[in-house]
Amino acid sequence: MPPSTQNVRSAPLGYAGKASRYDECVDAAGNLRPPWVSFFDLLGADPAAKLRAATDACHRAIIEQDVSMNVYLGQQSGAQPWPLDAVPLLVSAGDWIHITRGLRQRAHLLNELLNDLYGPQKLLRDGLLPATLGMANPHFLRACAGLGKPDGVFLHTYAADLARSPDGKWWVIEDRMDAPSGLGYSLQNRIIARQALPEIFHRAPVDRLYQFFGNYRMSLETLSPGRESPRITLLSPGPANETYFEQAYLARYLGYTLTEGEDLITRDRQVFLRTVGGLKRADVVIRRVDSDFCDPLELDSSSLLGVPGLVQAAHGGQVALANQLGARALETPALLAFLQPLCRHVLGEELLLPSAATWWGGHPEPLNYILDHLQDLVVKPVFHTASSPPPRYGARMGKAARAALAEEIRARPWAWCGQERVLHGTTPGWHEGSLRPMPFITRFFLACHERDYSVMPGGLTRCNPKGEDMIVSLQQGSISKDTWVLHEGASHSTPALPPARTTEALRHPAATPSSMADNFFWLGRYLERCSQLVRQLEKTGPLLRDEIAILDPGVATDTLRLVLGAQDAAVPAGATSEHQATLLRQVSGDRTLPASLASNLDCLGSLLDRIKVRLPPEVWQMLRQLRRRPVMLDAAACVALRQQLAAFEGLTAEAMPRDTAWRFLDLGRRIERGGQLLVLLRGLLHPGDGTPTTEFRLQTMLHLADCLSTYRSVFHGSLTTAAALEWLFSSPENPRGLRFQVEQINTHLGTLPEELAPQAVAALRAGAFRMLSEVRAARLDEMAAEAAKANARLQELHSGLSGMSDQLTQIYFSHAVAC
Amino acid sequence: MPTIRITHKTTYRHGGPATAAWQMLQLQPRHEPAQDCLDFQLEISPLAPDLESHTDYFGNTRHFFSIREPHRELSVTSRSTVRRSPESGPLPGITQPLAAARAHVANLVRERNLFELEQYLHETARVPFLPEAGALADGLDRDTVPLLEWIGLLGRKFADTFAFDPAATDVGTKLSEVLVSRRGVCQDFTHLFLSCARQQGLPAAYVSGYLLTKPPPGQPRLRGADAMHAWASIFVPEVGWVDYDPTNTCFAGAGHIVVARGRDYSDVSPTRGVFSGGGGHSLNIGVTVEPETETTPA
Repeated sequence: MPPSTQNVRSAPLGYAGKASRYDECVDAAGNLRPPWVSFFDLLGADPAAKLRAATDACHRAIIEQDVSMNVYLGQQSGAQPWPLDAVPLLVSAGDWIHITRGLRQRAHLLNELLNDLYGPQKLLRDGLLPATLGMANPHFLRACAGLGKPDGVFLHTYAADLARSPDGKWWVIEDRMDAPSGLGYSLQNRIIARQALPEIFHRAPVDRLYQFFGNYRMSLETLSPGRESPRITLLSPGPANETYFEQAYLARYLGYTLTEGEDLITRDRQVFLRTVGGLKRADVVIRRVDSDFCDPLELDSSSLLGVPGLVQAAHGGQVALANQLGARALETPALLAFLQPLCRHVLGEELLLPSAATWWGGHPEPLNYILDHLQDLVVKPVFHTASSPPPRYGARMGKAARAALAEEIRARPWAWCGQERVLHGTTPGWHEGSLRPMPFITRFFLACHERDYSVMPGGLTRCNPKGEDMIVSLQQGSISKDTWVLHEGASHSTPALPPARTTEALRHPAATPSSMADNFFWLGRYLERCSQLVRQLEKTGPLLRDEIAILDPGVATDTLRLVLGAQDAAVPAGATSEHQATLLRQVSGDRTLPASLASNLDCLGSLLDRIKVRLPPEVWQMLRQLRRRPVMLDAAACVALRQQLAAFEGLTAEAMPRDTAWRFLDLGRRIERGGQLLVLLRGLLHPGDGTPTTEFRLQTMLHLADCLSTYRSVFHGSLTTAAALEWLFSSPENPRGLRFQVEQINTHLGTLPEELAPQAVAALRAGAFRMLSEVRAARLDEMAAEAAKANARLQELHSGLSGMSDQLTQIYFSHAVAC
Repeated sequence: MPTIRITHKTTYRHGGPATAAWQMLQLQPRHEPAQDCLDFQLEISPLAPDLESHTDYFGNTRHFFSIREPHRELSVTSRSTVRRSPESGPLPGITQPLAAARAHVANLVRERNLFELEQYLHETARVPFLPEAGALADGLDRDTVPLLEWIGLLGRKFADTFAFDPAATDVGTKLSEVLVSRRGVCQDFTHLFLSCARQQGLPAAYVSGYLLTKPPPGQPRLRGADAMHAWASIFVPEVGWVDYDPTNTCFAGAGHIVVARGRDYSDVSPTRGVFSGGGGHSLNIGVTVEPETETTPA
């Protein structure tokens, strides 16, 4: 923003800083600092109204885009909406130059330290790094020794949390090296915040992020040890991880395959992606799983998140990991006590950005300092493990508690660090209708590109709305902010297109991970099953109360047996139809019954959670409604649910590319629909020998198959068994009929890759084709007349469809068929 | 010098077919001043197309392989030929008492480039610093008894306190349980010994290996009945690492073949595997250790 020519101004909205803290917006005299003068100018005459509107816009976008974070809070754990404040943190051009320089130096230094720790260990030998910090460090992974290489990129992505001290200096509070989180959230924050304050964002000289991400992509490609067009995957711990949303978001933004441990396997010290088209070599793995959990063979053997053999693959050098395995070893606060001399020794430079002053108990003098100044320090365990205690603030402890802590420290001095309490600076945030100063820290991100580190001109700012707390953690009620880096002078350049590549080179060869195909297949099945069960629930009640049900009670009984049986519930003898309808509603809402509608909807929900990033955004809306549905579905809820499922069906038809994943989704749907139809026909066509097929029976059958209205329009209302069978069974024109499903199945199978198991795929296709021929040539008059024959036929077709589902699983999902 | 042949067979049997397997082995005897590994062969069934080896941080040899075909049984047989010279330990009298040795070690770590010793001074998941384990050294003179003699005395304390009982524990048994039941096997006694020694400030390492057992007089050696053995190694200043076998209350001798050294069992576990599919599995291990002269021609 241009420097203001105006005289000193005080802040609007009664904003004031806090005693003894540095404030970003106003100086000690209460006058606005330059970046904020322009910010408030752009905000206009009614800043409160503008900020209120921006806050609402943020909130709406978070809900619409379903931006979430998993919070671990015991009983209330689960996905929570991402907390985002509309007011950004402003970083002036001068500050930015200082921060960038300091962080780049620090990244180089930490990379060298890691290369040494996992290489020659000269720094341990020379005593520049105390032996304890390497040798007693549970995160120093001995299996990874040797991965440190001179000039190697051990640390590809680096993040640092910074705060301002009362004198206005930036301090590094914590370094994140192992699998830093936050890049995806920063990007998402930017997209939402700039839409919430569009006129300000576009007129203020805010640095854009695209160039950094362009470099980020290129840097990952150049990390690849060999191939020209490398396959890059993001290894995620999965949907239960607190930052799964941003992992999925980042993978989608960058166009990389999102994988979990089970998607990758190692062979010959190489990493492969398990896809429906066979094993595809992975060249670069963006690692979001903590190092310790990455390889059950050599690291934590209890981990289910890793890839057996990954450590040896890293040693083999044919796969690049960003970051390299083992980087967590240096995420200890004790390192900060030695960083200044290490910087002098390793880089021959003074450390540019100071770290929070830290004393390590492993040496006598600092130990005495810690014990003498407990009341002023934050005491932290030197190595963070699952069982380590949280940081303890001496100032908040009573005398007795401090004495007990001192005893703990004396017992194992090397296991403790004392750290100076930095009173974090504050920045304005909008909270409960007013602009308030909130203590904040900002996470900045760097990526190694062309032997240097580039800093993302932005960051993930977190602040505490309560204003007095020192803990700034999103897990504990803090909120996030976008971070605007302002430049002076010339405005930013327009985004340039990346260097030209052929469309062919851009298009990745088909590589649908097997687990994804599996998920899509079951998405199709659950969607169809839920639609069917909702339809039954919705239509059975009225059907049973119909007066024709009294005239033709056999149909009512059969229908009920069918619909309750579909949810594994039995029909009680002698119950009234009213009672039965109630029972059906109860069963449908019972989450403890594995086959109930409620359980199927839960399965559908968790499946959607897993793969929502691969689906059109409108699905997220549906997912939210699904989560909020009432436990017991009344008539209105049924209608709403049926409409949502129908809308989803429309979306999958019109808003998804016809790729392999979609084929599996549709296969799942067709197999399920065909199966449901056959169950319906078996249950209602000839339930017992000699039962006459009444008009009411046919009508019920068509009704439950969702074919009654189409039948009426095609056959002009007159109901005959042969015509109903034709419509449900062998007509090529009925998209809900059996023939249509089998035709679609044949089409899809024909397009699936064969590499995994050519013979098994051929057998699968032949079986599907045989089924189609049989459905086409079926003797409907015979089926209508002869119960035994018809039932045997229907049973055979039903097992044929189940067999297909099993074969697909064996071949494509579990890779259990030998080539 | 006696030459010893070792055959070690591990068999996994699965309830259902496993579609793939990844394995890590630490079965190859180390090259050390007192022993030479003359030959080492691995036989794996089904066939493993990608057998690799890697020297780990402690200088042990790790082998890695994967199985790619569906299988219900996986067997790994290693055959080693080792020449072992009897340990000619120093006279106990020339070593420092424990208290002095402890200060000496701290100094070595700090000043003399032996920073690696530090890793053998700390507790690990399998070697927790239980006060009861530390107390096993109570009453043993730290100030005047030479360290080597002290180690022997601690060993005798172990022999008086604990009973060898293969049925009492398994790989997952916690050390605190062993302290209560006072029964266990070599792995338990070694971990306890390490916990006690480290709590006195002595660097102490875990050793896995084989033991040439003497058959009772007049009886043939039982083949396959032996198991892998474990013992402790204590760093004695000015002497170096000295191996002590708390299970047999003796210093390691010509019958102790070293396979791997580390901080505890987890660093040296002989086989570690991950299977995909297969359900549960049962594990069968057979070890035969015999002097070469005894082998009858096939």
